[in-house]
Amino acid sequence: MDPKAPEGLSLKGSVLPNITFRWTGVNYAYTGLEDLAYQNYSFETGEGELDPKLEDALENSGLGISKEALQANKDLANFTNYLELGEGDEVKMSLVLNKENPVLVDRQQIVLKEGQHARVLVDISSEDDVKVLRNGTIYIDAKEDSVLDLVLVSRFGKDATSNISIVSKVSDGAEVNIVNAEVSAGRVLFNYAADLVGIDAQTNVSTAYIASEEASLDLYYNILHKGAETLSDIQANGALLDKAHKAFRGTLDFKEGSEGAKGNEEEYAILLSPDAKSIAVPLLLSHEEEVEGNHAASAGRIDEEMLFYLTSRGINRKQAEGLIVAARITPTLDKIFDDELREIIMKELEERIVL
Amino acid sequence: MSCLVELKNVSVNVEDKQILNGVDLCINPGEVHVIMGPNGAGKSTLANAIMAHPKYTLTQGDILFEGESIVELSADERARKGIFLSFQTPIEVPGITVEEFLRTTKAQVSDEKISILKFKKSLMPHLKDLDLDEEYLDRYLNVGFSGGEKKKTEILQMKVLDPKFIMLDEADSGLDVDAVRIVSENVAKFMDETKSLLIITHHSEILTSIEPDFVHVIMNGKLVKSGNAALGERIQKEGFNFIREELGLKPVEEESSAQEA
Repeated sequence: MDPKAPEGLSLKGSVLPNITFRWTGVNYAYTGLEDLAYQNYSFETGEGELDPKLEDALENSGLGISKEALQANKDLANFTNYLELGEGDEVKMSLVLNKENPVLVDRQQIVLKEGQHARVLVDISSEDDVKVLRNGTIYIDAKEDSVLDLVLVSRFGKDATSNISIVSKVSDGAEVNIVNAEVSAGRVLFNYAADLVGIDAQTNVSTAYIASEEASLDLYYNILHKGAETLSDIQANGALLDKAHKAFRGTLDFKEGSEGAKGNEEEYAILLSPDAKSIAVPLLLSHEEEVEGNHAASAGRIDEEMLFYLTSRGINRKQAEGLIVAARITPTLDKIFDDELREIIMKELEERIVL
Repeated sequence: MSCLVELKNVSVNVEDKQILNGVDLCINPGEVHVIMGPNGAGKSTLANAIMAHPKYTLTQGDILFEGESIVELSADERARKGIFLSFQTPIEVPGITVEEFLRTTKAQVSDEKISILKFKKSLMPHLKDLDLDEEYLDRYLNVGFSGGEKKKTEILQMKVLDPKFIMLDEADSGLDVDAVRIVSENVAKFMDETKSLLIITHHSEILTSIEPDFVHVIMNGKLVKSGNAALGERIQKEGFNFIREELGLKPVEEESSAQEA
């Protein structure tokens, strides 16, 4: 998302569905995947064998960060996982990148059976000061009337590069809810594409982020409303510190046949440093008349009068900032169904903002 | 007796404009001082400067609290020493509930961990005194509160933080009489011989339960006259022109609104 390519980077990804003027620098992001090569990842690999049909579905979807990123994910995968989930199933996994395991190419498929409700939590972290590379994909097939709650937490150090492409196919009456918490100092491309093919299909995204140091965070959403009465909602809230850079690029694309569809996207960024940068590109595309799309985005410093008010009651400026950021992201964090992990994130927030 | 709060030749600028010009004031423990003055005279500036609002720059003089200079301290440090300012316009803070905020600030000021249940229980008598429902605790701080509710929430914070020196920056306009009466009663009940109070006001409603020891008048950034409660009563009746006359200034048509500067 940088207007100029960062040193040594040339591979582009997450291209906007409708590109705009080049000088705006918002059309694509740099993936940082130049150095990606196969390395073993010594984590117990997933249970099931990948379904080739779903692999093809991902490849042919035209979605995800880029063709190259998806191909590399297929060719170099060192962690694969197929999950077929039924009512009440709950899967949690924690993947760590470190000196011994500096490369993760994770390839997962999640299939929700008809009418079933399940939840999955994926926590990925990297040790600070270790150069790590990650290129992941998650393909979701949510069958009729199923509900998937997918929580994705990533906690990356400043020498991390992470690309994740999530593509969901949502059938009649099904619902895919994504909760995404990003606590990062590195280069992160988060790319979520929802193919709302079914009538009444629905997807909701709740994102919270804290980007610090020289983080470059690209939050890309592409919601394809294809079925009638489909619904989508994207909420992103977070704070930028130091020299962090964040782009929110969300597209609500109302295709022919999506009559009665409703989409909403909102983003609010708190800038805690004069050197932090925030970009928001909410796009609404419509090929259907009877649809409703809303977007709102804003970014700013915390109001000085508010900080004075809070500090006049005995808490210091950084605590006040931490309190305000926590207030913005708590609704998202509350959806992480792992108390310990939530605590860890709150502690990270405290360490990065308050201490 | 030594002053709890002492202003020595204090001059204050807002941006590059001088608002206060050489103010001297000593407030002893147990005393109630009232500051009156026309719009734009510098009344609120005095309170904001004592609380270390970053927009207000001390260009001259010294501010002492319990005999020590506090001019180098930030707002939160001054608050932890026991200085409290009830804001003229309390700020709305979305996302932080009244209870969370009270607990966070109390933990800072008292420097101790507080159990959530115990703390909530300790708030109940205060809520009753202020005629606030328990549900206020779960609402976001000042968000959507009426003028009266905001003022009561300020006093609730005052009671919880238990400061030694309280400044009430009162824009009484727009407040219903009941709310002002409740605020006045609660402040009066809170006071004792160790605490001091500085009230900035246009109106006398706030003084129904509180007897001032001194009334000061600020004009053009200077403390031009001090007296007892009778001075306040005379200003209420006659306005500030009699003071202007004493000072050899031209009388002006008195403003009717109660907007503070």
